[in-house]
Amino acid sequence: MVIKVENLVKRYKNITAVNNVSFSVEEGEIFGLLGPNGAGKTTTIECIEGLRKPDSGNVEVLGLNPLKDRKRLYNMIGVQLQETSYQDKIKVWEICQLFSTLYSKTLSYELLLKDFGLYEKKDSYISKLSGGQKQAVSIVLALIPDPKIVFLDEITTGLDPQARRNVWEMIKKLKKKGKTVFMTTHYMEEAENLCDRICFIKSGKIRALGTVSELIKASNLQLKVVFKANDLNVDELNKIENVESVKKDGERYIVYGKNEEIVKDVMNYLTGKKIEFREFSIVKPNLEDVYLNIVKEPLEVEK
Amino acid sequence: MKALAALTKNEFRLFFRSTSSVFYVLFFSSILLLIFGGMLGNKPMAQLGGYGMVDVEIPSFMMIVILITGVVTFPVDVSMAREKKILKRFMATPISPFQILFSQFIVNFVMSMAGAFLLVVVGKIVFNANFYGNTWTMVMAYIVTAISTYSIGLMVASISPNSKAATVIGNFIYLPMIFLTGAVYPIQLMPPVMKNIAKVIPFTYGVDLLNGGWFGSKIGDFTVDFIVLAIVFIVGTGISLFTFKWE
Ligand SMILES: Nc1ncnc2c1ncn2[C@@H]1O[C@H](COP(=O)(O)OP(=O)(O)OP(=O)(O)O)[C@@H](O)[C@H]1O
Ligand SMILES: [Mg+2]
Repeated sequence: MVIKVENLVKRYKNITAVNNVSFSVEEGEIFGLLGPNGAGKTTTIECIEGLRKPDSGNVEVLGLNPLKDRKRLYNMIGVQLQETSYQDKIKVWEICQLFSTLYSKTLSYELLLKDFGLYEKKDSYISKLSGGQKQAVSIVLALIPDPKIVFLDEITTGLDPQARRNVWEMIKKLKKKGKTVFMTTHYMEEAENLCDRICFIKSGKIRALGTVSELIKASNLQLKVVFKANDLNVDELNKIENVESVKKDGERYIVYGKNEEIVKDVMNYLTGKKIEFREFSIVKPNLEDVYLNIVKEPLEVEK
Repeated sequence: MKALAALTKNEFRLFFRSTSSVFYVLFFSSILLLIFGGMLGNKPMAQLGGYGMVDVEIPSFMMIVILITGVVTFPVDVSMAREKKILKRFMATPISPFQILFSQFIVNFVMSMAGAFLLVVVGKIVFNANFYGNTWTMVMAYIVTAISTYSIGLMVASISPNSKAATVIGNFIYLPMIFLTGAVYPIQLMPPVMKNIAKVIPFTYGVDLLNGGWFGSKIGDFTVDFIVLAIVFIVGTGISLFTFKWE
């Protein structure tokens, strides 16, 4: 266990941004913190990084207290902040070199720049880089101390789909090197693609936590089989094993079920009865459905 | 130490890439001296105690350099770094974030000294100005005045929510001060009302100290200047300590 958060509470003037959050992150995993704007993701990540002082609760990173042991900790973690910018007139290699002097042990920034496709840009002013290149610089700076844990707060926000996929590849590389990645994102396919485990928070509270498949299972969202056919008996469809409900929309039929068995069962029914059907498809609930499900849930009233 | 050296080197680099900083800090006061000296020459004047105008203007213009760097460029640098979350980013590294403030202080201070030195060189070469004091006393007078002024700059950075506000507040202090303290035009030549106003402005005592250093006054003559500048320093740093925010 490399990160342990226990009953974390952080208040700003009149709001509780993080309200009694507890979780832990294992070594080598990609952990995603997800939730709507203002959910408390950045606040949580910054409490873990030791940049904010929690009002109560415990945070332990690599066995250290981030506030009391900052010097040792910052030699072992790499941080990318949601909203850092750099001086306009600083060049890529200059900021990399500067960061290299801040740590006791560092990786070669030139190799890192090569790794992230930035080597040709090393003499450019940071202000002249594209959004994706700036994010890549932020990742390089986070990796200079050869950290055990990398914190990435919305690293792909504002990037085009290709640049985003490049960042995904970088993150997967980090995992292969055995690093732990703690990330936040608003893109569900990104989280689905990268994260070993996901923690959903909303209004500063954990709503769900687990692997993608665990979250989908726990959300009780149903698998859908959709097809078109001319004439069908809805009552008979309803009686098929594993089918929960059926909706008819013109010649389109939507069959809901709890598990993948219904695909076979529905198919057997249709072929057994020699019913002609078209455009047969299976729609699995994905992380986005889970997310929307969680976001629309009303908050339980507190006592 | 290694980190501070690297941070300072970086700040120097950024300084030289900013045309406006280079102009205001290094050349502005020398250009002003060329204009004033060109108009008024450096003949001994009775109202100036027998010294020439340029002789008197050199130490006074040093106060202009100190005020530009102290209450304008230094606080603007600091609040810019805060606004861009650069300070915050450095807080997530093993170094103490104070080192960033310190490197910005060093660069502004050293460049102001370079500007002041250029002022002296221009005065000597173009107007054959006279220096009556002791070099080390002069340097000490400069350092004391600058540190006291920079503490007000730190306070400006502390109370400004962003770099725009720091620019406005800094200029709001700097512009009236250079006229009211005798930095631009010698107090000796001002009407009594202006002399009385100057007396209640703390930076006047900086101008006085710089003049004392330039004209070789005895250390004992500086007591009031020292006390006033020390109080300014304590108030400036004190308020900064309580109000400074890293983000
Ligand atoms: N410095 C601050 N002062 C006061 N309130 C703050 C501060 N930072 C954040 N908040 C508030 O705390 C809540 C949580 O903010 P936080 O930045 O942690 O959300 P987030 O999940 O990161 O959102 P986003 O997805 O938009 O980045 C929000 O309501 C926000 O307005
Ligand atoms: Mg955020």
